[in-house]
Amino acid sequence: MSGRASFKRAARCITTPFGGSSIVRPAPPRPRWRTAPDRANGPALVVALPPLPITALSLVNGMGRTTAEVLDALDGGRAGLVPPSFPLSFTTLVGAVPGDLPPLPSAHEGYDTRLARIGVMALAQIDAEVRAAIARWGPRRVAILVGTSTGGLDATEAAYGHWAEHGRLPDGFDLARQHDFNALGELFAHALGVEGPVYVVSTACSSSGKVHASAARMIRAGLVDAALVGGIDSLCRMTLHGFRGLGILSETACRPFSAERSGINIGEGAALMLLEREAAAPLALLRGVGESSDAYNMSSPEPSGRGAREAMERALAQSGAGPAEVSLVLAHGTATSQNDVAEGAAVASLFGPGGVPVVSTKGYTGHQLGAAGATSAAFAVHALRSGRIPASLGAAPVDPAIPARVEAEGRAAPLELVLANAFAFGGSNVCLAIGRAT
Amino acid sequence: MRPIHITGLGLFAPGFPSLSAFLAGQPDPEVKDAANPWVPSRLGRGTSLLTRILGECAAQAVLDGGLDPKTCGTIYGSALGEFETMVVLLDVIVRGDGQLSPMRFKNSVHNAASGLGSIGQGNAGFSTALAGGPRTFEISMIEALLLASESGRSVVVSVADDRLPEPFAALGTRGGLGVGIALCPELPDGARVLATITGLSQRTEPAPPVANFRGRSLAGWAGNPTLSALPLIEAILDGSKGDIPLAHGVPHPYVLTLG
Repeated sequence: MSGRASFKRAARCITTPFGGSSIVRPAPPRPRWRTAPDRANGPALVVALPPLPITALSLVNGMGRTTAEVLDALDGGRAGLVPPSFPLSFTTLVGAVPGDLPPLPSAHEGYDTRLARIGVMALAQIDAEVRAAIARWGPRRVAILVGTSTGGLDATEAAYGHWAEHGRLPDGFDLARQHDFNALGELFAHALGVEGPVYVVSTACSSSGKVHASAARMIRAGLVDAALVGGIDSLCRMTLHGFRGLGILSETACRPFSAERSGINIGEGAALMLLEREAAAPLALLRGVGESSDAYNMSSPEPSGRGAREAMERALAQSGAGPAEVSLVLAHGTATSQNDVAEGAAVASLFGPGGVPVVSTKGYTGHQLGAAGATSAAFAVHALRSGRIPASLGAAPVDPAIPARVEAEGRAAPLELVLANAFAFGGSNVCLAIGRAT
Repeated sequence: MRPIHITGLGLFAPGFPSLSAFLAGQPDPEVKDAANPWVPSRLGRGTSLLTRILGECAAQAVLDGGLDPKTCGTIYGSALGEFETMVVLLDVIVRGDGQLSPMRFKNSVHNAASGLGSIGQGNAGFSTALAGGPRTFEISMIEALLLASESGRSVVVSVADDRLPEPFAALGTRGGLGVGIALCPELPDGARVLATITGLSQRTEPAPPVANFRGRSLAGWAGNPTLSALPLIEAILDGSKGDIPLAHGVPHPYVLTLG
């Protein structure tokens, strides 16, 4: 494993053991501190931080029930968008996980929601790797950080419908274990025996990008040695009705960056990754995470892409890399008119027009909202390992108002560093910089 | 982790518009809503009481602590989030015409307070929204401490949960409560230090649930995860040193050391 990904220094944190384990064990090396301009927050930011090994990943979404199925569809240019299986008063396509979702094990059936079932499908694929990490580092040295925007809303929708019809909530509805945002984290912790920090980041569509930043801070600070991170969202009527109310839900398959785009499709799915302090043979390296806020509008991006650019700049700064070293940008690319133009402007202003290949994968999965950032991160790892830029499905003909180099066709390419963007309601932006393992 | 100073506090609960009012102990029945000065009224239309409590507590702590609301990091924690807004929208879907208000939908996200506060103050820096069930205060403080320690920047933590609307009211907290805490790794000019955090560790034994505050029963807020903030606030006010659990009634809580 690369020495850059290894932390083996003495503890730096101040801590007081209190009848239990101290948080501070093998502390991170002191990073190569330097400063970079930060227009929003003053004169200095810590940059050029050590990369973290990504040692496992899993995917479930509209393209497939397993990581292999999903990645095979991505490489083959096959979308996972279908008509919804539940009644709606309008027409759209969704990225629904195909087939019936297996029930939860009986020990955890109180947590049963569509969200939990999708999450467990993803966790089961990397169960051995996660348990090995827990055994290696100890249950208190592992965190679980999940991003979601819906939580168990599908169960709450059903409970409210039952109440409206029968005047009482259904037997078995458990607010804490079904609706509560952190129910899924709690379920994972119970199933795995994790005793470190367990929580949810819920910043709408940037949620599962931001969990990588939180986990990286924890590992760098010496609070934990490993973190299961990712994002999970499930289809529910609230999000479909809500985006339709905003006038941005497409009746047909979404086509990010295309001159012929007509809005978004909503998808569901899960993407999980295991980050560890050090690893012998990582899949890839999390080299940096940039976070910013637009401070502009609750649902529209700042038109020039200023906040998006700042997130990318900060991710690069943490990576110790410059724009010229980026091989590919996996864009947020939702296929709304405003997002695609603003993100294109942000990319062009940072990399120059035509400076870097840009791809959106929403045309395959739909917009998975709280799971979108982690899914892009997993696709970034796959792109680095396979040496292949996926096609930006449906992008041709590219909107001439988008000054970025959108790749409408997939192709092989040597890739070293991939940026994965996720932007959200509230102007919340995150960019992950993921590098090839050396 | 470097030492982190606590420079400001905030609190809001219906009946108690501030920490000083809460300390005085006599509820004002006229105080039903939070002012949320960070968000202009036009921008704040269609927000929930929870959003306003979160904004109010953040604003109080920032003002008390001498932070700059245009640049400080902001961390908002809530276990159940925008439940009030969600039920309004659900009712339109289940019993209405299904045409959701775009304004309500935008404000239904868990990071509504985060986004509105950022827009209202023109703060383009770090902001996030978290949930940790009964451990929401604990994990919000951990996130804040690590961010402040690594970035060297001031951070405000605002944590709140509110009563649930029908038909879910019996399943949640009995009363809304929010707190705000201003954290500074480097002291702003003229700022005073209320306490200094010198350590963060994890203990084996659970801390007992928080049932009282300065001898007064907290039964009116039973089930509110924000109660876990009150022992820390009490220790700060008393100038206590030592270890303060950040979560109560749960296994292996994290503990702050006040030095």
